[in-house]
This record gives sequence, structure tokens and C-alpha cells, in this order.
Amino acid sequence: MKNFMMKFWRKILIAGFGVLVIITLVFNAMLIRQTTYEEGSQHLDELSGQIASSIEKQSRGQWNMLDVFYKYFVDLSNNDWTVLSSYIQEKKEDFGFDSLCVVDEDAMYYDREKSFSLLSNTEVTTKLLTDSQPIILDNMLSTEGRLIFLIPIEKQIIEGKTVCALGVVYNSKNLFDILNIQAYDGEVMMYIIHQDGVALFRSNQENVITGYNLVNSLEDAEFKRGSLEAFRDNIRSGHQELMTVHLGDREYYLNHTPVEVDDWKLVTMVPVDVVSGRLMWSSMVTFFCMFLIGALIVVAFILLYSDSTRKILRAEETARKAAESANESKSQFLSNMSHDIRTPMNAIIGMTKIAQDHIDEPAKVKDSLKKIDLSGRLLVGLINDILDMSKIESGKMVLNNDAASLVEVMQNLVSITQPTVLGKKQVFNIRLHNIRHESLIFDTIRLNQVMINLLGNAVKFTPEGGSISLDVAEETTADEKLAHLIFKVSDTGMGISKEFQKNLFTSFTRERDSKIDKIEGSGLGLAITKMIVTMMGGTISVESEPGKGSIFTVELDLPVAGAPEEMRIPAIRVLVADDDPETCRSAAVYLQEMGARADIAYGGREAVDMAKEAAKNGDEYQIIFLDWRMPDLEGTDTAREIREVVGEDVPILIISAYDWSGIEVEAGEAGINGFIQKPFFKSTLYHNIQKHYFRSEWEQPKKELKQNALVGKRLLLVDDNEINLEIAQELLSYTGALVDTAHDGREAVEHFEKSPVDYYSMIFMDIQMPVMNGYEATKAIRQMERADANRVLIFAMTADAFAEDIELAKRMGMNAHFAKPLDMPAILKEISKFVSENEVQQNEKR
Amino acid sequence: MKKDNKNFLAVMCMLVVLGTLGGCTAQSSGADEDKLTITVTCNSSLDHFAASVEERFPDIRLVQDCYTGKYRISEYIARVEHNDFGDIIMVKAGHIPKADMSDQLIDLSTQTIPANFNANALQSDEYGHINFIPGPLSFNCNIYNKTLFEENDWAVPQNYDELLALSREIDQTGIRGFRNSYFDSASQSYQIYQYCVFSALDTLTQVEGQNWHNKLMSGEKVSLEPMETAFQDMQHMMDNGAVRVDDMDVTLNANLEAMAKREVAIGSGEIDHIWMLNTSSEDEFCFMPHFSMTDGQGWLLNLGYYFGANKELKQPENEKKLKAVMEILNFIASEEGQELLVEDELGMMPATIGAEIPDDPVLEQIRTQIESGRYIMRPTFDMFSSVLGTEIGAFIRGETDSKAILEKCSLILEQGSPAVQALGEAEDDFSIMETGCLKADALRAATGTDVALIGISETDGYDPVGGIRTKLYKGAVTEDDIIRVSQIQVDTPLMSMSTSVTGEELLALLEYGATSEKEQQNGEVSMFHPFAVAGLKLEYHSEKDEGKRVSDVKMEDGSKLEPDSVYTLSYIKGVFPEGQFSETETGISMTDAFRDYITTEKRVAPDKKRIRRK
Repeated sequence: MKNFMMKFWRKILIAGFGVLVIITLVFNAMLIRQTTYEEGSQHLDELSGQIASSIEKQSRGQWNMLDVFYKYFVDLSNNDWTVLSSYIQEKKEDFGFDSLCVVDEDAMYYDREKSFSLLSNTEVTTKLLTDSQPIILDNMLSTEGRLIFLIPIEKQIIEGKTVCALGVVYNSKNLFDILNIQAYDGEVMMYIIHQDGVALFRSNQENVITGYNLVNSLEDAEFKRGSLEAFRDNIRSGHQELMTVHLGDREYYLNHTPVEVDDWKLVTMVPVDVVSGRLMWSSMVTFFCMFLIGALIVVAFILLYSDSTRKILRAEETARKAAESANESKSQFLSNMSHDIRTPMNAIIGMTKIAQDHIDEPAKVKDSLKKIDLSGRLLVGLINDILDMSKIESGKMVLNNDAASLVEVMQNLVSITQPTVLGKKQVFNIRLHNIRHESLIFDTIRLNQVMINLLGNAVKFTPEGGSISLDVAEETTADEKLAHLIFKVSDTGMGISKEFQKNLFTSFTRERDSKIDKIEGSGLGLAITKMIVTMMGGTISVESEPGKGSIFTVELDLPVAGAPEEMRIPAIRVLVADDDPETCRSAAVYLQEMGARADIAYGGREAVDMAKEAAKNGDEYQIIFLDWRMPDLEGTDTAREIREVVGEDVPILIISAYDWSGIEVEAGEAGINGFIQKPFFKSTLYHNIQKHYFRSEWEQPKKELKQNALVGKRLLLVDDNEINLEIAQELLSYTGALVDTAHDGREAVEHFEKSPVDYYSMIFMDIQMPVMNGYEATKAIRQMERADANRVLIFAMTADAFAEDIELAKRMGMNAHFAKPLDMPAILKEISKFVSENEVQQNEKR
Repeated sequence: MKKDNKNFLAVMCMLVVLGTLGGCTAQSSGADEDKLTITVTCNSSLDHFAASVEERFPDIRLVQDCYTGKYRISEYIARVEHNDFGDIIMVKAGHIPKADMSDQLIDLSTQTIPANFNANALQSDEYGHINFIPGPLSFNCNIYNKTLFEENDWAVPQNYDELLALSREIDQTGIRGFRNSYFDSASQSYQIYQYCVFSALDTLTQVEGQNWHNKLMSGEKVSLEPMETAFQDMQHMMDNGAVRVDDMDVTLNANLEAMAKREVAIGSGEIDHIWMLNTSSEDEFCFMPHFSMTDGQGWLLNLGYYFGANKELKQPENEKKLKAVMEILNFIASEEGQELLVEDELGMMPATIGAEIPDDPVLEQIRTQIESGRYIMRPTFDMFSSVLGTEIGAFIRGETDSKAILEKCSLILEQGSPAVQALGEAEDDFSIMETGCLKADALRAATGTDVALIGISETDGYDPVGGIRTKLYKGAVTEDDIIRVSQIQVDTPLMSMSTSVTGEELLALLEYGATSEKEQQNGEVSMFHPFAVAGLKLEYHSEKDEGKRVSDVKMEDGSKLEPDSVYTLSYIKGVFPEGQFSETETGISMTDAFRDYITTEKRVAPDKKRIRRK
């Protein structure tokens, strides 16, 4: 039932609403009918009441008149009938009756014209003569509508008759004319009837009931409200009730009102449509309006419902498709991952097997180990991507913003990208445009990650011989504290289809194409990139055309780290030669800003010519920057020729995006004083001019990692996994450290406990271990009462690289956290911080 | 169920009537067959009225289903009890209280018809239902021989005392001054009738008397003391020689005959009687009022006829007939219709409001009473008939007194009337022809003849000699049934005759059929009127010519009717014209023969195979 309700609740709601509307309309119709009925009843009651009252009044007049006559008659001393008769004759016109009459003790009626026996009339014999009650006779003696009002009197002998009753003959029209009213458009029918239903008088209207007995004539009529029996009973009891009766093709209100005269009742019949016509009409109009409104509401509801249902269905469909897509992507991802992970794993296992089989063949073993190393790195890369994604999605990734040099980032990118670019014989250009701020606040690692991802993809998806470029531009912003940087990574690769561009930044997606099926990757790179950019408050977009290449644009607003360095030099003359116009232009701008006079040459030959021309003019260039690779004349050749012109004092520097280690000797021979790596910043130019022209020493700040920071240090390595233990021990031993091992926390604690103070400089502690885990062991060590308990450096080593693990490790007293597999350079870098800090602290203590 | 049975019976009876009508109207034209047949059940013929209806309503054919005799109360009751009446029923005023027909008749108060009459002339129940509308005013009055009065200078009496004085005076001349019939038969007691006349004149002419009678009729327990007055009057009349023991042997007809013969100067009767007297006698007879001993004044006894409509007409399938019947009733309620009924001797003048008293010399002495409404209904005292039927005779003979009689009446009021004794039982309803055959069986059995023949009355008032339009109904057969089936006049039994005829002569009698007195006088028959037979089996062909109307005649035992063989034959006296053949009075009345047959047989059933009709 509940399921049914849940399933069909909308239909049930609509049906319920419809029923409610119908009920309301029906109720309204009934209310209208009832109101009409009550209104009609009230009007008819009032009308009938007034008419009945009027008839009663007139009848009372007749009785009063008879009393007057009787008194006059009694006062006559001689009971002379003729005297009374004459008196009445005189008064006849005044009183409006036709004649005087008497009834004798034998029920004989006498008036001026005739006599008639009323013996067979029980009204006369019983009521008048026996019970001495006044009566009114009708439909007697004539057809002319005569009413005979009779009152009993004391017996009087008149002309030999014993008279017992005195009366007047009255034309009923005088009494009942009031019934001929024109109310209700003249359609009201009024009847005076006796209690048994016999009609005494009918109004002039065209009567629908012509029967002698009005009540009995209704026997075949259809009572819509009330019944004939109830009507009969009401007439007898005097209870008033408006009924409706169908006669012919019309419906009538049927009402009766007791008239306090004899047993008379006033019966009124009016067509319902006449009484309630207007009210009914207006009510019906209202009813139909309500009906229409109700219908419109229902229609509107249905339309809205349909529309919203469609929308909901569409949304549901979209969500379903998205979910399906997500599922599909996830499934696809898992499938890919499965494939991508298995592939290096297979390689590792396979190569290991090959190495084992050819253990005596060093070349074969070396080759296998190289491939195992490559596969291992690929595997780690994949896992790192997944972990990054997981971190970002769970909100656990936090940016480590700090003052950093954009120059370093660029140099790092060059050094990282260069080897693969060269390997694929691709052209790689990095161009800077109006970079005003070189020192900014950002997370170096994450910005590196973004750019490496983008450049890595560019390299990956660009075929051999293609070109890749990175353009970094700074745009002015309203806020001086922010530098708006635009990074554009362009390639001439295969491009991305429009359709795939939509899902480009979605997790677990990678365009399937026969061309790239060979390309490994998690498909998370761009998703991670976008998330990092978003975290940094920037945007990333892509423009691409399949077959032509892609341009990824990252825009970031990075805070400026302090005021830029003041870079002013005297107005020396500088020549910059590069076949890349943008590099030339950029360099010229920087130089001019510094105060130098810069000239640009777009090729080696042009540079030589300009140098010659300058020398000829006696305005020699005081420092010359030459691109290494220029199409017409290589940098070294150009330098050689210029050197011949300018002499030995003028510094000539080579600009190159490539590793120049291979040409150092040749460069020296050609008279080249030094190298500048592309991309060069303003500061790069400035510092090189300072160095080579002004001969002032300037050293780039270096935080060179001391590879031998652990030399001579004693370490305790704790891991329950023998392989891990062995690997870690081996890697650490390369650093020159002395490594002890322990297989669980307790053993580590015992080792530490038994060792002399400061015996161990640091402990590398696995977390998940039997007997005693890493947290407990750390806690136990920190709680020991020995001088080095808190001093000894304890580093966590876990496969879980989540924030909470790191946080927990720190809470437990560990100094840092390293993820497995161990990245020795990163470890050494981190360790060096603690070692130097520890040393400082120890020195201070000393 | 009972009602259903009644309805079924009614329908069956209607079919029988219509079947009979079909047989009787076999020679009628095709136009007649298209007409709507409306049947009026009446106890005297309405020829003038019927003729006018035919003329006024061309689409209606009014068929009179007349049962002979105005005073056949038992026949009326039998028919009403068995719902055996037509679309319209005509009822004599005095018969209305005998049977409650409120469930069998249409309420006419829903029509405009009652408005044509004075409210006093309409009888209605407490709900104003009206089952009957009145026919013309008809009075029972004293009738006097005006010629004789004028010859003897007898003044027409103006009050009770003058009547008695004149009666005594006339008695001195050898002519009976005042006499009425006091003959008593099993089903109609003129002794009770005359007593009721006294009671009407002496008691119901008074306000107190009316009130008393109303209470008595409504079932209230009342003192019977007001009935004493009528006995006093009767006694007074007896003391004055106006009522005598011998009068109990005088039938109504005998008294009328005596009046015509100047043997009686003053009697009583109705308009048809006076017309009969004025027709049959050279003297002129006129009405004078009855006189009340109580107030001495002249009063008339209101009789007349009433008309009602069968409730079966309310059935949906009878819509057309209902409309036609209402048209006829409207016509009856008109002054013109009433005048036509006056012509049919149903009354003296229209009962409609405003109708004028006809300028007829016979009414001269009662004009005042008519004008002033000095007419009253005669009480019937049906509840006391078992006592009054015998005790009034005893009172006239001086064998009992009024006190003893009224004590017996009081006892009836307390204990109720004694149960009616059944003489036999009818196993099924009989048709008129089957009833005739049963009577023939009774006559044959009583007379011991080979064959018996009985004439059968037909519609529109055709009565062959000895024929009666009556039936025996399923159930108990009482003395009332014996009389109503056997006698035309309740006070006059039919006597039987016997003769011997050859087979050929018998066949000729059957071929000629029954005849009415009028046909016998004319010497020809209007159409073939088949006999009911006993001792024979035969087949009638009513539409064929004489000589071919009867076939397959066999004796009761299945033997052939031999033309030359002699067969004894019994029949009602007068069935065959006097002198047609040698005949012998058997001295056996039809009534006795039928009573004996029923008493002997106990159970009788209609013989449906005896007569076949084609």
C-alpha cells in the first residue's frame, strides 16, 4: 500500500484534487439550491402570511357584523323580522354582503329569497346547531361563489320558525379578491381549501390544478421535496413546510398557510423558476464560473504537472546519464587502471624474472633493472595521481602558499621538460610577456604540478617534430597587491574533439583514440590540474582543434611578495639577437626599463652587422646577448664574428633554452662569456649585466640539498615488512648513515631504550605494525625519561598519505611523515630542515 | 395475493363480458370495431343516455352491462365483491353503503366534475376522496290518483295528520285510502324498507336524528332509542288503518296495479312508477310528499343513482379508456347528461347546481320540497336486517313490541350479525351462459324432463323472458345467490312449465333462440339469442342464419337427437309465446328448483363443454 502510494502519489493527488473540486462544486450547487429554497420559502411564507392575515381580518369583519346584527335583533322588543330585514337592507351596501339569512332548529335555511334544508350538512347539524359554533358554508345553493357566515344565536321565534342561527350571505370574491395578486410575475396560484383538500377558491391565474380536491389532485404529482402524505399531515397539524412538486413540465413550490377562519388553508403554488429565477440564474452563473475556474485550475495543474514532470524526468534523465557516465567513467577508469597498473606490474615482474634468469649477464640485468625502475616510477605516478585526486575530492589537500620565485618555477619547468622534448625532437619555447613581478606568493609544488601536467600532456600528445610553447604573461590588475598571470601551453598535437572538451576536466576520463591508446595515464591529470587551479582561485580553459593542436590557458591572481627589486643600470648599449621576435621585444623592453639602450637583431648575421656598425660608429655595444640557435648563423658563430669586432672586453652571453653543458668548451673558444637560460626574466638580464659588465658578484640564493646530510648519523629503521625494511635500509645507507633495524614498535622502543643518549639521531617508523604500532612506539619513546627522548627525530613512513594520518603522526610526537615508496630526494630535503634546526638548537644549548 | 386474485378475476370477467359483447355485436359494422368500448354496469337500461354518448363521442361505444332489477342488492354486492363490473358502474343510492368500493373506484375529487354538484350531494371520506358522482335527483314520494281525488273533491293533504285523516276518509268509500307494499322475500324485505322510510321521515328529518344516524354509521356505540319513533309511527299508521297485516302479502307491483285499478288511492313510489301508472291507467297520478310524524311536514326520500369509475382504468395500458370514461362522467355531471338520465327514468331532475325543476304536473305537489331541499336519505339498518326481517312482520301482526325488537338489535350491535349459511359451493366462477346451464340443470332435475332451456340476458339491456344477467361466483352459494340467480324481481319467483316436443321441434326451438316479451309481441327477433340448455350438448353458430345456428346436437348421454323422437322439455313460464304448443305448469319455481339442486349437489362446477360457440 505504501509502495502504491509512493508510486502513484501524483496521480492520487490529482485525483484527490479533482474529487475535491467536484465535491466543492456539488456542495456549491446544493448550497445554491438550499439557499434558493430557503429564500423562496421565506418569501412565500411572508406573502402567504400576509394574505391569510388579510382574509382573517375580513372574516372577522363578517363575524363582527353578525354580532352587531344579532344585538340589534335582540334589542328589538317585538322580534319583528321585517324591522331587522329593513335595517339590514339599509346597511347592506355599507357592509358589502348580499343578504341576511337564518337557520331554524330543523336545519332549514331561510333568506329573503328562498329556504333550503341543510339537514344533510353535518357542519350545520353538528357544529352549528348542536355544538353552537359559527360556521361558514360554501359551494351551497348556487354556483356563484357564495359564502354563508352563520353564528348560533339564542332561539328566537320568527314568523313561526324557531331560529337558531343568524347569518349573512357574502360573495366570496369580495373576500378572496386579494388572492388575485400579480406577485411573481402574476404566476402565483393561490387556493383556499378545506382541511379535506376541497378547493373553496382559486385565484384567477391559469391553474395547473383544476381538480375539485386540491390535495387529492396532487396524488399523481411527483414530489421533489416533501410528499403528499407529509403535505396532508402538515395541513392537518398546521405545520408549515415548503415543498416542491413537479406538475406537467414545471416544478412548483408548494406552500400552505393556516387561515384562522373555519378550517381554511391558504395553499400557494409558484413555479420554482419564477421565485428563484434571478437568484438561481446568478447562482448558476457563479456556479459555472466556479466550475470554469476549477476546470482551469485543474488544466493548469495538469499542464504544470506535466511540465514539471517533464523537467523532473529530464533532470532525472540527465542525472541518470551523468551517473551512468560517471559510473561508466569510473568503470572505464578502473578498467584503464587495471590495465595501466597491470602493465608496469607485469613489466616489473617480468623483468625481475628475466634479471633472475640472467643474473650472470650484467648487461641484461642492468637493462631489466632499468625497465623495472621505469615501470616502478610509472606505477608510483599513477598511484600518486589517484591519491591526489582522492585528497582533493575529500577536501584534504591544502595549499602551502609561500613567497616563491616565478623564475625558479620556470627554470624548473625547463629542466624537467627539456629532456623529453629533446627526446621527441620537439621544438619547445618558453616566452615571458611583461612579467613585472617575479616574486609572488603561491604553492610552488602545486603550480609546478599544474604546469608540468599541462606541459607533460603537450609533450605526450604532440608527435615527434611538433612544437610546444609556454607563454607566461602578466596583466595589470586594479589591485596592486595581485599579479594577474596567464599561462598558455600550446602544442601542435592531435588536439581534442569538441565533445571530449566538455569532459576534459572530469575525473576518470581520457579520450579513447587509437593514436593514444599507447599512452599511459590515469586520466586524472587534467582533473587534478583543474582542481588545483580552482583551489588557487584561478581558471583553466582549453581551445583545441583535432589535428591542429591545443591551447590550455591558466589564469591566476597571485599575491605579490613584497616590493620588486630596484633594477637600474647606466645607459649602456646592449644588443639582443634572437630569431624569436617576441624574445627580442621582451628583452628590449626589460633593458630599456633598466635604463640601457637596447638594440634588437633577429638573426646572427644581423647581429654581426649591427655590432660592426656600432664599432664603426664608435658606439660599441657594451654587452651582447645572442640566441644559441638562430637559423642564419648559430650563436657561437655569431659570437665568434662579433668578438672579432668588439674585442675581448665586451661580454657576450648566449641565451638558450637548452642545456648548454655540451657546448661550454666551444663557447669558450668562441669568446662567449656566459649563458642565460630561457626564459629570461628582467632580473635575469639585470643580474647577468651586473655580473658580466659591471663585474659585481651576485649569487642566486641556493638551498642546495646536502646529499650527505645523514653522513655518520645513526638511524633506527622500523618496519615489519622485510622487503620494505630492506629497501629503506638500502636507500638510507646511500646517504652515509648507519642504519639499525627493528621489526615492530616494541623492538624499536627496546632498541632505543637500550641505546645510549643521542645514539640515534633519527628513527624511521612504520605505522601499521604488529605487537606495537608506530604511534604507540613513538608515544613510548617520547615518554621515556632520558635526555634524547624528545630530541630524537622520528619520521613516520606509511603507505597512507592522508592528512589525518599526517596529523595523527604529528600528534603522537613524530616530526614528519613520508609516504611510501620513499622518495629519497624529498626525504633528504625534509630531513635537512630538521637536522639544521636540531643543530642550531644544540649549538644554542651549548 | 388476494388483490391479485381480484384483479385477475376482474380481468377474466371483463374478458367474459367483452367475449359476450363480441358475440352479441357480431353483426355490427367495421366502424364499431374501431371504437373504444366503454362498459357501464347498470341495473336499468340507459338507452337515451347511451344514444347521446354515441352521438357526442363518435369514437366511443358505450355498452350497457345491465343486471335486471333496480332492487337487486344481492346482485350488486356479489358483483362488487368479485370486482365484476365495467369501466363505469351505476349504483343505486341505497346500495352504496352495502359495499365499500373505495379501493375499486377512482377518486373523482381530482377532477372538476364534483364542482357541478351541491356539496351536500357528494359523499366523501375524511380525506375528501369522492368515488361517486350523483345521477339525477330521484325521490321516493307518495303517489296519489289525482283524477280520483278530483272526482271526490279530496284535498291533497299538507301534513301528516291530514294524510291520515284523508286515508281514513277514503277507507270509508271502500277504496283503500293509503297502502304500501309490506311483502317480504328472502333477499328484499319491504317490511324493513317501510320501517326505514318511517325512520327517515320521523328521525332523520331532525338535527338530533341526523347526528345520531351519523354516529351509528361511523360505528359509535349509540342508543337505539331514536329507532323507537319509527315504530311509533308505524303503530300510528296501523291504528289508522294505513298499515295492515294483509299488506304483508302485497308486492310493490301488486300495490301499483291496485292503484291503477283505483283499489288504492295513495301509495308510494318513484318516478318510473308514476310514469308506469300514468301510462297504464287512464287516471292521472301525481306525487305528494311523505309526511313526517315528528314535524308533520312534507319530505321526500332521496334516492337516485350514482356513478363511479373502475380503478383498473388507472393502469397505464388503459390511458385512452380512462380519458374516455372521464369524458362520459363529465357528460353525466352536466345538466344535459342528467336530463338524458332523467329520460332513462333514473330521476326527476338534474342534480347539478342551478338546475331548474321541470315543469311537470306530477311534481306539482312536491315542488316546494324539491326547491327547499327537504329530502333525506333513507337509512338501511343493514346491520339489523336479521332481526328486522322477521320482527317487523311480527310487530305488524301484534306479536311483539318495539322494545323487544330494539333489544335484539342492541344485542346485534354488541355481538355482531349472525353468519350467513352456505347452501353449497361453486368450484369455479361461472359465465352467464354457464350459470344459465346450471339453472337449466336445476330445472330439468326438478321437473324430471329430458331437456330444459333457459334464456340468457345480454348486454344493452336485452332480457329474454326468464333471462337474468347474473353469474355464480366461486365460493359459497348462499340464499342470496339462489334468489339473485333465479329471480328477476326479488319479490317474484319465476315459475316453470313443461311440454313434449319432437327432436325436430326441439331443434327448431334452439335454432330460433330465446325471445323477449317485446320480440314475442313483434313476432320477430332482432338477432339470435341462444338458450342455455340441460340434457343436451351442442354447438352454436351465432352468425349464421336460422337453420344453421345449431349443430352437433347430442343428448346428455351422447346419443343423437332424433328428429322424430319425443322429448320432454321444461322452461320458465312465458319463454315461448302462449299457444305455441301444449304446455303444463309444473308448479315448481325456478328459485325452489335451483335451491334444491344446489342443496342436493352441494358442489357445482361450470360445464365448459356442453355448449361450444363458433
